[in-house]
Amino acid sequence: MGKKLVVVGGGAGGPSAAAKAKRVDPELEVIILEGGEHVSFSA
Amino acid sequence: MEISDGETLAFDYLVVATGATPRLPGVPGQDLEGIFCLRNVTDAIRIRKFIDEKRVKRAVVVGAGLISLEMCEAFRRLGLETTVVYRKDLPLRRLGEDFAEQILTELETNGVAFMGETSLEGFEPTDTGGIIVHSSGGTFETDLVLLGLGVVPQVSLASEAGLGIGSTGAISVNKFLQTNIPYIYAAGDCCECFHRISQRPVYAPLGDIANKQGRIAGANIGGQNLSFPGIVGSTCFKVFNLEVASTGLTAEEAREVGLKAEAVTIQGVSKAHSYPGSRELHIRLVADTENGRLLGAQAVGGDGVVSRINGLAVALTGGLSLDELAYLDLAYAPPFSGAWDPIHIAAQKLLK
Ligand SMILES: Cc1cc2nc3c(=O)[nH]c(=O)nc-3n(C[C@H](O)[C@H](O)[C@H](O)COP(=O)(O)OP(=O)(O)OC[C@H]3O[C@@H](n4cnc5c(N)ncnc54)[C@H](O)[C@@H]3O)c2cc1C
Ligand SMILES: Cc1cc2nc3c(=O)[nH]c(=O)nc-3n(C[C@H](O)[C@H](O)[C@H](O)COP(=O)(O)OP(=O)(O)OC[C@H]3O[C@@H](n4cnc5c(N)ncnc54)[C@H](O)[C@@H]3O)c2cc1C
Repeated sequence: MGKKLVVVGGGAGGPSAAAKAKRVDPELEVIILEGGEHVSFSA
Repeated sequence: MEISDGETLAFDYLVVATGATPRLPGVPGQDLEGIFCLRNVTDAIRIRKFIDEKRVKRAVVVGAGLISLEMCEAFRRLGLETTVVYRKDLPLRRLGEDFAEQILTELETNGVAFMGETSLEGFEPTDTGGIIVHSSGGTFETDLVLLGLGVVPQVSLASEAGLGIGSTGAISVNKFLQTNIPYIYAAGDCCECFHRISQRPVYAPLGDIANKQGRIAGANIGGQNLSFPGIVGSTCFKVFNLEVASTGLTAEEAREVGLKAEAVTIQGVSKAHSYPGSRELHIRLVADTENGRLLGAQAVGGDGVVSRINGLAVALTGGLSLDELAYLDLAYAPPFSGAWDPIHIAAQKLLK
């Protein structure tokens, strides 16, 4: 099983990190936590 | 890590990308209905809904940074009577008095009232749903207030997790975007970045930087070995018909970090003089008097401002000197510049 990445924050920096990590290592399990209503509005 | 439903979440890697939160003035009444900050889409929708539903006619903008000035334009487009309340005498003071004056003129030309050297004291509701604004410049009534006082990094989670906080108050990271705990990374407005010209950590909460830091953190977590080279401090924005941009240090900032700096300011044109639609363009170059190396640039004008500043951002990154800038091979055709670009003219003037 792949390793697990948790990203806190779904603005610009968080989703950028999540997407790139998953692209580089497709085995990685990636979870983004976002407290607000909208994701990636600033990316 | 614990999440809001009380569950815990295990991880091998963590990215803290918690962003920033608007700075509040800490005055009485700041939480009243009709007083807003603008941070995200939810805020934007709330503000627009309030304007439409309450038939807002008057707005007060507190602060005169990028978001405040952009919101002045948005409010004026909606036909609102708009007043800025600001602590300093001029907006964007950092760019120098002459450039700040031009920004002020642009605001006033477009119907924005500017109350400089005015401190906010508090708010009170009226019986009719309005808001009374108390300030050192007097008491007046409005329908809506936008607080644009800048942001502070959101580091509460990071502090609880024991992550190192830097001198700027944001999370400190190395060039791989790792915090002091190597499997915990940070990216974006919650963390600091390295300024290549001042050679210090700075807090630069900007969207392009957040994207780059995020991507580099992600690449490293995925197994690559990328480093974030730092920033030269480039920003731009538009207020009504004026473009404003800067990169690197101002002369004052350069001196504060111990550099010997001198600056020159020229007025040029955005396109060839003869070309229709050519607009004034003011550009200031800052250079190190000891070795002629470019340290920064600021510009305001009607057009072509950002292309000049972006060119100069590249020059800063490459460590170019004024000699090199003075005869730099910039692309030329009349719709875009004169044969001598304002960059050449400024560099040659500063060399004299
Ligand atoms: C009106 C406006 C205009 C702007 N214009 C520009 C511009 O022209 N150019 C530019 O470069 N920058 C601009 N910016 C700045 C840019 O939006 C930010 O730099 C960028 O959003 C930062 O991205 P981030 O991911 O670090 O933080 P954010 O976008 O703030 O995202 C952080 C996210 O984390 C979430 N979060 C925080 N804590 C937790 C938690 N404990 N649990 C779960 N979720 C959490 C938040 O809800 C938030 O959604 C502007 C900002 C605003 C508000
Ligand atoms: C339509 C057009 C658009 C252009 N647009 C651009 C542009 O957008 N950007 C750009 O960078 N460049 C542009 N150029 C190129 C630019 O105009 C030339 O690079 C520039 O004119 C070269 O200058 P010059 O002094 O070397 O030669 P010229 O301008 O050709 O001048 C040479 C002069 O010497 C005279 N002469 C020649 N022999 C003798 C002699 N024996 N005795 C006396 N006089 C003599 C000729 O009559 C002529 O007047 C354009 C050129 C044209 C034709």
